[in-house]
Amino acid sequence: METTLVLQVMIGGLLLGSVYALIAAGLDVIYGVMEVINFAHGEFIMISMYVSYWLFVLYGMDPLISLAIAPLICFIIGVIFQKLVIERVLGAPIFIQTFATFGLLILLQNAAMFLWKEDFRSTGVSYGTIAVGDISIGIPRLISSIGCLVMVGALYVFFSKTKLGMALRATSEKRDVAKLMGVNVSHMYLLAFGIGTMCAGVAGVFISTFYYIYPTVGSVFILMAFIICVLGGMGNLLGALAGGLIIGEVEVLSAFFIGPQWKEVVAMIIFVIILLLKPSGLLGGRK
Amino acid sequence: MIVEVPGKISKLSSPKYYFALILVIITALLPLALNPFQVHVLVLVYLYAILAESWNIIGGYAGQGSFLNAAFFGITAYASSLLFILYGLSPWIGMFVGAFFSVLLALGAGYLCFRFGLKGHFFFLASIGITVAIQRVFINWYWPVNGDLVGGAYGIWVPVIKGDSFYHFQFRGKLPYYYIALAMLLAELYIAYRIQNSKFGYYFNAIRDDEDAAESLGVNTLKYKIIAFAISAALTAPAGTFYAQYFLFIDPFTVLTDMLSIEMVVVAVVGGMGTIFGPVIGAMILQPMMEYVRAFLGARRGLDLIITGFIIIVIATLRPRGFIKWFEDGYNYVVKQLPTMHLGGERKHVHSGS
Repeated sequence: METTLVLQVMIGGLLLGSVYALIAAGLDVIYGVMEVINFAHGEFIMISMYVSYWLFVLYGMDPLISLAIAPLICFIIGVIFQKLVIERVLGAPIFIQTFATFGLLILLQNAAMFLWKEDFRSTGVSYGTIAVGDISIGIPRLISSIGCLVMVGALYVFFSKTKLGMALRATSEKRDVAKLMGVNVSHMYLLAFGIGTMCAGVAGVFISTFYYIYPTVGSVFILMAFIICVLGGMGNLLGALAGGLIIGEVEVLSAFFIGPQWKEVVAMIIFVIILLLKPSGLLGGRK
Repeated sequence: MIVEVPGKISKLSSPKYYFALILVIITALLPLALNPFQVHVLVLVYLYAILAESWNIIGGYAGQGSFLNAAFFGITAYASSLLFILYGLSPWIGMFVGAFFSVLLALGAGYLCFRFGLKGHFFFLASIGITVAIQRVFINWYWPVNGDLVGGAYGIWVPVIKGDSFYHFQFRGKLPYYYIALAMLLAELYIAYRIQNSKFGYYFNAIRDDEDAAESLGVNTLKYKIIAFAISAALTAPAGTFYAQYFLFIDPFTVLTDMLSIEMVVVAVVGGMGTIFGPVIGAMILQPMMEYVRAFLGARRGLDLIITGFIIIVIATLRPRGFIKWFEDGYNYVVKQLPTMHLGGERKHVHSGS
């Protein structure tokens, strides 16, 4: 019975880890192309969760249908922010861009607090569970996990196979050379920030099917996403995937065996150990 | 307020120095003319200036964006409060114990991160992770006091002493706190000034501007980054004890949160990173603004911080190098108007300068 329980927990870790992977992948895209850390990433998850929630409550739309809407909203906000703010400060000292995203974090989080109060909300959709032997898996989590993995895969294909993806990669490698080759660098930056925030949007819609929705919900996911990014080597999509799955497992196993309040501490210890063994991240950083 | 501590008395004849002294005197007399709320706002200004000033050593001078400074602050707040509760030790002594642990943490975390070449944003993120891990430890750590458990998620109430006591770092009024904060700030400014004009300062700046170049010129970058981190930790510590004794309540969600580190960065950047007076100016601009916005718009939670967030974005976009330049220009302008002082001379007009 004990082994079944552990197995159940570990499957939960994989499901959670793939959601983490998508969030971290979004951060990686932005960092990889522009070397900016989007601190407001968690807030885009939150926005997307609220969009999904309100569409469900007001119009009865299934959260999975809002997959077509919420990520788009995140994409647009991301592009606007890039155009109005980040683009102007790309030449400034290293922390300024990141500093601007703090401002966005505080702005968005408190706008949500102002508009919708601190109540915990939930879409309350119930897709039921499926059972494999003694192990039962919540369908929302399963769908989320598969959806996030598909999205990470799509990103990978986009960056390695399509012309636009290659242009983005070229921009991240050598901005001036890419410019000479006829790549519109400023458009690439807009696109990169938009794709990054869209990843958060997609993850947010999925999370809204099984998690509470409240203004500071982003901070629950963002810390682990930061750890995953450094763990996997910043700007590396496969690293994000591997790191996401590892941290997902670490989180659920430590919550199960030690206690849920210690999961961040355990994740940090694992993180430090991996840093000691392989400083450039699991799959090696590009830079 | 731009204040420069003169080295020698003879320098005082130049307006550059005696004007600084005038500003210090005005600052010292200021609370006598203000109401308690305004004094409270000024105490917060000094507190944030101290925090941003110490962050500035590692973040502004050495160019390593640390998020661990909130941990130094919180650890010292906890150390002095707990030693006071458990052993009746004076918070002043606890302050040094806290500073000791903070420096140890800085040495350990600094070695771990810098030894393995975590640079720029990587160090940023790693230090956030460590801070949150420390916060979680304190959320789950309880201490037995007279059969009760204190600490953990409930936080700690510092026991109130009857009357004023310098030994116990507790006063009824706000004035003593005002002068302690001002003294701490002036001491930190002096230390920052000495560091910037020493070998250390040049090494720190060299590392910030181009680490590889500094390394190739023979600067032991690992060593000096860790030293900068340790200095930053030691300078953050007094603010932790001050906070605990001023508010008499601490919990992991207020003194150990990574938001506190964000605030330090924000204050330093708004004023001007890597300059001595930048953090002070940042605190002077931001803190009163936030307090008054809160006082005017406090009706519904969130509105004050929406405005703060917006202002941060605007400042980052339009003035990424901070407001220090305006204040320097203003100071120099006033100094130019002032004559060289002759001993025994009298001046009628005193410019407040800010």
